[in-house]
Amino acid sequence: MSRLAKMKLGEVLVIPIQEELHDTAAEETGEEIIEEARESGVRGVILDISTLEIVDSFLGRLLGELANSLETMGKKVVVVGIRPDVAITLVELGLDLAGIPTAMNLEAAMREMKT
Amino acid sequence: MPTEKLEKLLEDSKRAYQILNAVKEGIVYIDPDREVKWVNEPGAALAGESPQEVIGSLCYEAFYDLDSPCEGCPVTETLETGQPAEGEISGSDDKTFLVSSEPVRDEEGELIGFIETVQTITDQKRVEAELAREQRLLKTLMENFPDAIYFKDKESRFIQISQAQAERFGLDSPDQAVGKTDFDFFTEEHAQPAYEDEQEIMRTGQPIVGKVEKETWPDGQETWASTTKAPLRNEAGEIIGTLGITRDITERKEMENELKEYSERLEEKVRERTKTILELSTPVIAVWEGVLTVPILGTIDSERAQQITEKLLEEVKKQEARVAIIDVSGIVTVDSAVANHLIRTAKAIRLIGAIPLLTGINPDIAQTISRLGIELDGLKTLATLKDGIQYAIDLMKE
Repeated sequence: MSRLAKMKLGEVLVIPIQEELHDTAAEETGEEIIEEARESGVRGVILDISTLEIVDSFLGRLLGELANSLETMGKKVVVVGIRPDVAITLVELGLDLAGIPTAMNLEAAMREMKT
Repeated sequence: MPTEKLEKLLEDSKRAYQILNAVKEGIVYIDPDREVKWVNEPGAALAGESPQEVIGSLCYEAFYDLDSPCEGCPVTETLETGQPAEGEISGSDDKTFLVSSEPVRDEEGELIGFIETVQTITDQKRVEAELAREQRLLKTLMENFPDAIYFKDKESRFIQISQAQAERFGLDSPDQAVGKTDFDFFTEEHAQPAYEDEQEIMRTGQPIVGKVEKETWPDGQETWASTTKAPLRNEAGEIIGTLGITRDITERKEMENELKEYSERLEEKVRERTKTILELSTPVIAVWEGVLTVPILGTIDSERAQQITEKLLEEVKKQEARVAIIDVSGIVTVDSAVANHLIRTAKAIRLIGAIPLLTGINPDIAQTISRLGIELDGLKTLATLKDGIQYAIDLMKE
């Protein structure tokens, strides 16, 4: 059973990543997202992490790996909704998602998708 | 006179001389003009001569090398009153003589001379005087010194305490403490460590100097004291207890605490002010719709860098800015830490979904960044703030 509250907007799949995701659950979710992206045949994936208030190195790394995997699959990825303190933590952990486009909100993310 | 009687008289007289020479005191017989008529051997020895040499001299000449009768001579008193008298005469070499004079009269009651008994009281007197002086000093110390002074035996029982200590203990008299211990006056919290200290002093012979102690009293009161304790030894040098002096420093301690609190409050205020100044010195300006600029002026440390990052990110988020320009043309020096902070700020801005621009990078800063091998990761840098704003506006038009 999919626990993802995914949403398909045209050719874009929007996937909110919930805060309670940790360790094994997070890994399973990652696989699920990849599977979902593959099956749905969308052009791009927006990872919405606006509800994430805290991020640790595990989740940060997973996020990076997930985005890279999706890109490798030929999907355009935009990470949206990183909170300022989460952003500071990620930078301090050295997980600055280099090369992965980011956006402040869904609208900006959709705009970014089109470029 | 029959020969037998005469011999008996001579015999008696000889024995009398023997007796008079055997006593320790000097015995001198002088006439009313103080001429020495007879002296026993110990008496002559006081003048450092034999009796024959002394007899015929004036007593003050023979014994004291003076031209007139000695001050305090009891003979002078006896001359006036006709009564026996006693007096002390100071001789040379710090010697003091206790002299008593006894009038000698003839059958008619006429004064014909004096018998002086001279006792050297030097050593005994000095010891007594010193002892008295020491006792007086000790008494003064124990009664008047404001610090608590105490002597304890091997079981840490008080042998003697000072008036100040008695007052601290709430006793009417210092004697009431004798035989008691700290456990009778303090709670265990203080009495136990104090007892252990004393046992340690007696074991090692080493004093404890100026130890700051918290004293806990049965009524819940707490006082602070500075205590110095040392081993108490007997004449043979064996440790038989301890002695100590305790100064109440409660007031000082309270003042110190107040001062500490005060300085903490002050520091807190300074921190608040500094924060305010930092905020004021980090104005985030919206130069265009969706474009924010933060000019960084002066010097920058990690605290300020962090503060700038937080403020800028917060503003970018709040105003949904698409471009954030960090202008460093007003920065005084850039070291590796500052450069790292700037790069991190830029990276964080990108993560929250805005485009960071770094402007005003002078050759010095450029060199620092390249020398440090800091990866700019596609971070856009421009020479001047003006260029930055132009770039941002162009971006917005797209």
